[in-house]
Amino acid sequence: MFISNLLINLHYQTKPPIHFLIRKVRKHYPRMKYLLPGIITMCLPLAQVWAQSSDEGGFMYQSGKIYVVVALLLVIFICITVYLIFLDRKISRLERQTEK
Amino acid sequence: MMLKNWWKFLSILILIPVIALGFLVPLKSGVADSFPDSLPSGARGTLFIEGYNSNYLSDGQTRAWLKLDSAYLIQADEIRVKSETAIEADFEIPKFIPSNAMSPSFVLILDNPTDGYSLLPAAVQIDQDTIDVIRADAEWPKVQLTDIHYKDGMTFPYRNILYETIRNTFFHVPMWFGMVILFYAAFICSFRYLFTPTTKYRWHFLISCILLMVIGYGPLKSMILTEGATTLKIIYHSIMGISVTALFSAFFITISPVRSKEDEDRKALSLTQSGVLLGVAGILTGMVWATYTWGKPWTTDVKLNASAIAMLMYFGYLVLRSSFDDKDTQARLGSVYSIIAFVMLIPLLFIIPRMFDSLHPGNGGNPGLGGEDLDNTMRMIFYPAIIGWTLLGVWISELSLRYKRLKDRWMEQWEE
Repeated sequence: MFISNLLINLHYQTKPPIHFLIRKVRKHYPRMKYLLPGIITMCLPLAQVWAQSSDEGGFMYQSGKIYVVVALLLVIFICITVYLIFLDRKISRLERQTEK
Repeated sequence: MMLKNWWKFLSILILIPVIALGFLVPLKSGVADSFPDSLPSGARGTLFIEGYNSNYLSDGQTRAWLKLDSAYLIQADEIRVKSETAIEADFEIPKFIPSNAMSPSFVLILDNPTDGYSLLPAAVQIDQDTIDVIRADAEWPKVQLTDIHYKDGMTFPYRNILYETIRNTFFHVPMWFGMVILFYAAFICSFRYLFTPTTKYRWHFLISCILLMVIGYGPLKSMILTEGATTLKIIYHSIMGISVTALFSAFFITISPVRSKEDEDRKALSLTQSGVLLGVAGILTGMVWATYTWGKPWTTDVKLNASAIAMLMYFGYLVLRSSFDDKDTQARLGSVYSIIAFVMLIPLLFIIPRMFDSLHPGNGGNPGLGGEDLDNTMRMIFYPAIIGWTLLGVWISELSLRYKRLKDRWMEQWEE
């Protein structure tokens, strides 16, 4: 029963059902785009907890703290990647606009 | 494409060896810890020494000293090697110590031909019952620090607490250098937007800047500044700094004719955005580093809070621009704000942190990136690292600039 419904849905709708859900949420809750930044901001105090829990001799302190250097390089990489993702999205939006 | 974008390839060519050498060059060997913290005088004491990156077992010629100052040393008469990184050293400690303190602290010095010398400051305190400096001097065994070895090859300095994280100098510090350079470029572009200067006097500005530096930091400085004139020194240096910076900036502002005002504003915005990116990366990497060296991600260090304020100032720039719909208003207010923000950035990052004690190296005085935190081997990688990361930032801002140009051109066409 369930599977057949799904198949029929797939047959009639070109976009997956989740797309409608996202659209509905965006329409009725326009501030939803602040959700992710909000969650990240609320997680910031966790950094303190993490710092307190990571006691001497833990993973990051092994091999003369070399993993701290690895973590640093990862942080820089993530920052640049996130910036590039945002830029990429802006460019695709412009592309879509120019095509219309 | 290769010829036009040579600097992009240069940034990659610089960053690859920076990251590779930054990870691969070994640290000098050092003394990580010693036990116990205090020994009694007039007795035979054993010190358990823990080395880092050391070769005590393969090199049997390790020697150890306890040093009060350059004149008074005790040499270990017996050394038992336990492993590559652990030795026990026996010291015959005299009855009286030539010091006016009851328990003066000694520096531990180790030396062997493979690892070179290494030392641990304030390794052990020696407790004496009575102070008798004259007798101590007479009875002290005359020991010289001789035949000290230096480790060959490319190495980074060993620092306690830091250990391998000294390599972060090539990843955390260039973020801030790059950020300041990008903000300076944005400041220049904002000026060019606001005033659309002519190029008539550009060489006058450059030559007068060089002349002022040659005269002001050369003969005039030694004529005006005498020993102990602190207030005069501060006034002199601030006036010199402001005028040299102003002339230098004037040269950059007038370096080429302004073809399009709008483009200068777009450049300023893109440069500020990638500057903020580097600043955020600098703060985050600093937080990670601080967690494992200072114990927590955010301390009450003046430099941290000053850089946080600087970042907020530039976030304010982005918010201010986005709060106006009109492109012209955005550009005018943005460039005025950008100029003021950069003028505020200099005291925040370069003056205030030098006036207070700080956990950062080289603060509370004149930093100048000196001492044992940045030796010549590290400089060889550190300066290219600054150039490489800054060029990467410029590359990112160039991408965003090209996007803005396309978007604006398309918007104009659409409005027609």
